[in-house]
Amino acid sequence: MPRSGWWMAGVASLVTVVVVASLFSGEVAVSPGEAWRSLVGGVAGSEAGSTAEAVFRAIRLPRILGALLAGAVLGMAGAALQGLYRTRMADPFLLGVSSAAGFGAALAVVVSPVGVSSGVTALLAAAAGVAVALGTRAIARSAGDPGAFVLGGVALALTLLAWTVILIFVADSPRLPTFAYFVFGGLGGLTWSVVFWALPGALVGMALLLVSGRDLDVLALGETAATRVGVPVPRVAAVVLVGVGVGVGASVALAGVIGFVGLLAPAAMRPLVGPGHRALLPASAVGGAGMLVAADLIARSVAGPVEIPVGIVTAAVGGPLLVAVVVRRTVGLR
Amino acid sequence: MSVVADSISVVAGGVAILKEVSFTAERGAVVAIAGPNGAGKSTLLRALAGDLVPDAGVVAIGDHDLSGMATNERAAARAMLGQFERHDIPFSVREVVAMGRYARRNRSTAQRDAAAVDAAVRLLDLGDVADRSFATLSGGEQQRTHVARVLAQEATVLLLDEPTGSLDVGHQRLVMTALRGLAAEGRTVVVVLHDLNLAAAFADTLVILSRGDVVARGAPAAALDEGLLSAVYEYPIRVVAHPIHRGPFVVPVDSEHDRSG
Repeated sequence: MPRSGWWMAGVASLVTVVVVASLFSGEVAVSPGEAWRSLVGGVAGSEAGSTAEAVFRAIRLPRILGALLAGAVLGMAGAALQGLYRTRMADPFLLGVSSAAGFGAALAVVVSPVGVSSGVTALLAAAAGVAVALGTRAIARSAGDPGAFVLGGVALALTLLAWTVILIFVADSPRLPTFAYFVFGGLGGLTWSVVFWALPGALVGMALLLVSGRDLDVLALGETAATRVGVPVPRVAAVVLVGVGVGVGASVALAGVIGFVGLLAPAAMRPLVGPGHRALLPASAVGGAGMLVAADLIARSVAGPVEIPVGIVTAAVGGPLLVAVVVRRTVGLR
Repeated sequence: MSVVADSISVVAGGVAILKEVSFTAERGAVVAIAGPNGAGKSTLLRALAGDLVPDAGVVAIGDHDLSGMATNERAAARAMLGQFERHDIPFSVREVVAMGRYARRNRSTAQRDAAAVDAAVRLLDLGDVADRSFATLSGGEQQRTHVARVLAQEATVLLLDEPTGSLDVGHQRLVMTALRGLAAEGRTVVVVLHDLNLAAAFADTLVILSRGDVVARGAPAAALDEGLLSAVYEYPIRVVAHPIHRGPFVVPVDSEHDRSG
């Protein structure tokens, strides 16, 4: 096994430990036996035998599965955007894609007459995510340098966030989540229905990114030189950005708007597996999944029964990293 | 295959960069393009590569109009080294050279790709740095890596914009000798050069551009005319016999700084 393979085995083991720790942490104590009975019972379709079993099956499992999925998508989307735009500052949150998906999700609640389905939310979140993801290419082409590009994305993100908050206040709907969900994310109350509806988007999004691995490698030459060696750059960019939009739409349907995972996961994985996207994309997915589960575990552990929004935890770590990236002037890919 | 530009014009920002320029490079030939800054050399090369579509006129490789070719067809027909290639590519030298194989990924085997990459790495004297990170190399090593990537593409027409710009005298000769060898194997080589003596030593044909027009075209001995060069470069230039091979040798007349006087 190559060195990067051993590293990934180590990362996967670490993620497994975090997942297991998360599954057994919380207000209601769940024993391994209860967890096992809950799982077996869930597969068989029988009622939960105890409160612990019910909590494990209806609350813990969808929450942690949702965190894994959302984190995987965000990590992989960050790596893909960084490859496409050749800057380590690219991230679905910083470029406005997450906020767009958040706006789509809020709009889904407002426009649907009663009891919006998780499907409509996931669909509108993905549609808005795709629209803005495709739009980032226009910003990139006119911005010229990576700093101006990311600043343009941040401006777009803040604008979309503002409109989401306006929408929340104007609609004044009891069915809308609080605006903190759209600013800092939230995994509390995640149901199997939401996971079910978000799963296809997350898988399709990640599949579109995974098939673009080699193209993203060659894009390191720059778009002009990549075109000269035969890369159909507009088509590759469209596939990647649709993948990012659909995937991030699913992640927002699952967990709200969460920043910095797309920045942190590739930054952590690149030294372990190298810059090649065929390894970096899946590695960033594993890293992002583990990071979001860990962040969620911290978010619901540090302040007792009160949960800190999970995006606060990711921002507390990711914000300084972004500052470090800017200060070290490692704006371009090294 | 030959590459032909038929009366092409390029206008940018209201300024005519190329004025009805016609250009031909035949199979097996090395054609050098020279001229002062802003003459339109890089624009001509980019038009030949299909990077830009001329405002008038047609570019063809072999019998095919370049504008009608798909991206991968173009990549198989011509390879291009730009004047400004990136220096911050986070891959190894060998990986960067292998990127030249992109267009052949479905029609080539892994062994064939590896052989082409190895050959290009050896030809450009990159064996010692092949596994190093490209971003850590010197400017000259990076330039040779980009040239190797262009050669690994195995296109029939090679277009290179100042491939020797960052290279020491030995490696300048190495690159030009490699290009001559490829021309001898039947490739078509078009190279923009500032060094007129390098062009005189290695090109079959020299094309001199000035303000978007072709002002001289022919064998170097014929194209390198003292009066023409002095007018085009707006600097006194002499063409003398090379002390060793007696071919044309271009010497700027630096009278004001002449230390012998």
